[in-house]
Amino acid sequence: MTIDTPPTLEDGQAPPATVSRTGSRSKMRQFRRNFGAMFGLTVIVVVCLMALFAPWVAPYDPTAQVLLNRNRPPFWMDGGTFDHVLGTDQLGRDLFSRIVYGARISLFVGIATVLIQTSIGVTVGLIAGYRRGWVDTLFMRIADVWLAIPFLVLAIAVAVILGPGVMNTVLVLGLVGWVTYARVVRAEVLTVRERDYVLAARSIGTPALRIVRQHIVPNVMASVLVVGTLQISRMIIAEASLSFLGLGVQPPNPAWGSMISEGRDRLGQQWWLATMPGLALMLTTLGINLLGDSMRDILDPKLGPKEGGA
Amino acid sequence: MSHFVQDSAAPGRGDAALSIEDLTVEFRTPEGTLRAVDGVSYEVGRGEVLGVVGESGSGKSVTAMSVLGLLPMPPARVRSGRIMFEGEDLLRVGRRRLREIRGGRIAMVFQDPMTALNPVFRVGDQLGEAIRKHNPDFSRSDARRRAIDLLEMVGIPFPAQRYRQYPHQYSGGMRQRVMIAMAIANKPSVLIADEPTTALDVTIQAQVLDVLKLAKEETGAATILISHDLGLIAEMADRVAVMYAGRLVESAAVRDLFAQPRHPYTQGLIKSVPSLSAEIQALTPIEGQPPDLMHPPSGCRFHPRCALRQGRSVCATDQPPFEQIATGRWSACHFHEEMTGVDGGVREREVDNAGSGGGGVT
Amino acid sequence: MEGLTKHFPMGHGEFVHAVDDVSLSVSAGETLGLVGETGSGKSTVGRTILRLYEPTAGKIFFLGQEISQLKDRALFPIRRQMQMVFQDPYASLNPRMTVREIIAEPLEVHGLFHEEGGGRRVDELLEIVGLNSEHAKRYPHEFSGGQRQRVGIARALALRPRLLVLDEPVSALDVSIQAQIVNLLEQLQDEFNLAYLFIAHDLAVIRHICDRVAVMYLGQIVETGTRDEVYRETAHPYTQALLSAVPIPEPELRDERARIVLQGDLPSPIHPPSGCRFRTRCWKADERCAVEEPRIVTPLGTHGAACHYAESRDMLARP
Repeated sequence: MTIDTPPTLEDGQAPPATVSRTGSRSKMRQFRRNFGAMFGLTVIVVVCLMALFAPWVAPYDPTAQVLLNRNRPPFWMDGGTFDHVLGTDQLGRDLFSRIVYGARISLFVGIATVLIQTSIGVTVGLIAGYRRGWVDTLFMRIADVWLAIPFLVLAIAVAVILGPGVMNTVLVLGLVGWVTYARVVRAEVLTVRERDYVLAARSIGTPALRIVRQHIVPNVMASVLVVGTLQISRMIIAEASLSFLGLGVQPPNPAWGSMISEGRDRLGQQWWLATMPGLALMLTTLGINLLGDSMRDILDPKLGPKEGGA
Repeated sequence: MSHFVQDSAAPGRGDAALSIEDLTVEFRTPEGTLRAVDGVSYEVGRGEVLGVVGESGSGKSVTAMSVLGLLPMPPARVRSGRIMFEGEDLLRVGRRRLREIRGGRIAMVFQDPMTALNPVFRVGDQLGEAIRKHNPDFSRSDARRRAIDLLEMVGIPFPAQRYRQYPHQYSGGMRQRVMIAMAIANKPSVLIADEPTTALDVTIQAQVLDVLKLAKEETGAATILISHDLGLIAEMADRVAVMYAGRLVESAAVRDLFAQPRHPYTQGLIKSVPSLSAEIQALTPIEGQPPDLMHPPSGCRFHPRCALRQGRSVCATDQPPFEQIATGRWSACHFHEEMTGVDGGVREREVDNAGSGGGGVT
Repeated sequence: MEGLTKHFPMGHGEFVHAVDDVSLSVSAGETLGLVGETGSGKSTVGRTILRLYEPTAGKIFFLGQEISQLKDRALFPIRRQMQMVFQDPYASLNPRMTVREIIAEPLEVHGLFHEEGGGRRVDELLEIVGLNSEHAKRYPHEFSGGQRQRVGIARALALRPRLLVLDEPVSALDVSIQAQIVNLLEQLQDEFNLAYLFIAHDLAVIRHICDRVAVMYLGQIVETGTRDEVYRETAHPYTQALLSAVPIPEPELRDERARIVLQGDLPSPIHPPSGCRFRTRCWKADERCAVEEPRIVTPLGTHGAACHYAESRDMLARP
């Protein structure tokens, strides 16, 4: 029992009286009181705004090379200026502008891959969980096999066949990650489909498609949302890893992963080149994870205030 | 009622093994503070079975759990009160002392025996462990012998073989027997049984109740039996305390209480339960919904559902004191004098909506 | 319903004998109580009648038509006529639908929503069960247990069914609320001439509401008859033990009643005992009970007990 959970007073029965509308409002209050969640939300909002309004936020063109201004340190170090807040790289490109534009790519990759994963995973999970039997067995064996494929090798293969690039990165990552969703959704469906309200719907003669749409999907979406959020940060890191290996986003496009990769050799002299995009990556994923964690707590009906016993 | 000179703080016989005095427990929730137990006092004497009846949210379990310091704190918080046991206030003794008392001098049996037994250890070893914890001078083989004796006493067949089995190999009824064996292992002077048979079927319940009676006779422990089942209370208890919305509303000897309740809630409960043997007649439910403890009704907490109130405003404004109204009888109702029997007096003056099956509107 | 049997496969070629050769009948305006303990198969019977489970063997007749073999499409119009009310008012309502959506769903599925007056019909149903139209906008979690159960009943009534299967409809509720729901169910039965199959483990509630009673043990009916026959001329040893074990809220009878405490636990339904399934716990059992399965020989609807040594006894007689 956590602090956030109002006591279930007696022997696991729900709290006594319930004719109130406080349920969702109290969840909001719970959320606001949670420091991690608020921090995560703030970081994500800032990063999203940065990405959306990159041309206005970034002081320079991220690919513009000004060779006179090469290897400037950040403003607080000797030789740094406020013209280039975080300094410049070996080609004289403004590091801050590159990080701002890099946020676009990172977020795009994160969100797009998760959308692909979700659509495949949720569909597979719903069908496997609701149909059960041999369909379930088949899909889950495919999932097992899928997990056994080393994803780096797959990524390299795709990069070789289709060439590296943002879109192919999204495709590879999207195709790899659906198994998690399929498993989560299937497990949820297996329990939800045995709930009495689903039985009630079946006893009316409700068609399977309607049961899935009305009764099952809304009750499994909470977990999908949580997994999805956490997965976004994993995908951002995965993209960075691919870019770091040179298999993802190609220069001169600024992606955090490739920036870290490029800065790697100069860690001794211009340490900020790799560290700054690394920090951006860390902050963003931390923010998303914190948000995802608190969403899990809040959306979980077992922990939620007035939906206990469901 | 002033003409009763004797004025005891808590309903009881005066030879309390355990007494709870003016206990108030609150829970902090995101929506605010919820007072689950509000000024509750009762005692239980040696060899006596005190039945505590109430519905969900009445605070009956919370009261019992605070005796052994088993409430999760936070969110729970004891606002006031004393729990006196053998000269000590259990609300003020240290954790270590409480652990010594728990399972030793005061033992508890819970509703769900599965969660109370550790699934990865043998039943017998857990029982032996419980014995050795409170009897450090017992050797392993002493404890084992005592454990087997106990298993036999609570009616487990083949106790020596059963000793070596794991909890999942026991049925629900047998697990509850083990819990009782564990509870009486150290000859407690107070035994708290919180809905001990609610999870069990009727025929198994009968077996477990027999074991519980036997356990009480064996140890002479003062027993607090918490249940929502009036039948169970009528069958087992000597005295009864009725709780509603965190407060005590009535207390009396078991026969008096059922024959002539002196609080409209008690009466309502009795009339809500269909009889197994009497002539079949329409049930008279208590109208309305259980109270929201976040926003409890003013005055008497039962007044919005009360059939005796008949619009009188004092019920909504003044909290009725829980006071002694006759020898061995306590009630918290402004108008308890108007109640003369289960079917007398009040019944004729019932408010019009009673029995309509409607209600439910808040 | 005749000779209904439902076995659940357990893998390894084993089956749970959840329901074996059960025959029941219930007619309009009548309440048949199906009483039994955990694992007796009483809920399975209810769900198999509604074809939520497929029967392994046996026939189900509804309004003269055999429905046990019907395919989904043919069953669809019949489903309107029989509905179910569940035990757990928390689990039986979809937490993400409003009360209006929940009650309207049966009407929509059967394409009757507009024909029946749409929202007005929902309001009317809410009123029938003692709620009001303001409750329609709310979500299940905003209600107490009793109110949720009323919503569940409104949903079951939406299609104007002839038969309601009530699966432990009051056992999850507080005592003071149970009586409200029991009264509501009685009132609805009178109003709509409903047939009830009332499944419960609470013998007092069953006695209060039912005209006829069937007692189940380990997937079989051991005794059946009218209420008074089963409760006052109790013939089967199991029913006798059951009745004697119920604690009754009359302290003065405490030590006066005849008491039978059965030994042991319910045997496994995967390998039920040979002969009479109750013999392992029965004080009357002898060799014959292990070999020869007792059967209820009387015609459907009259008093009978599946016991070789049945003799009637009034377990509730006051001394």
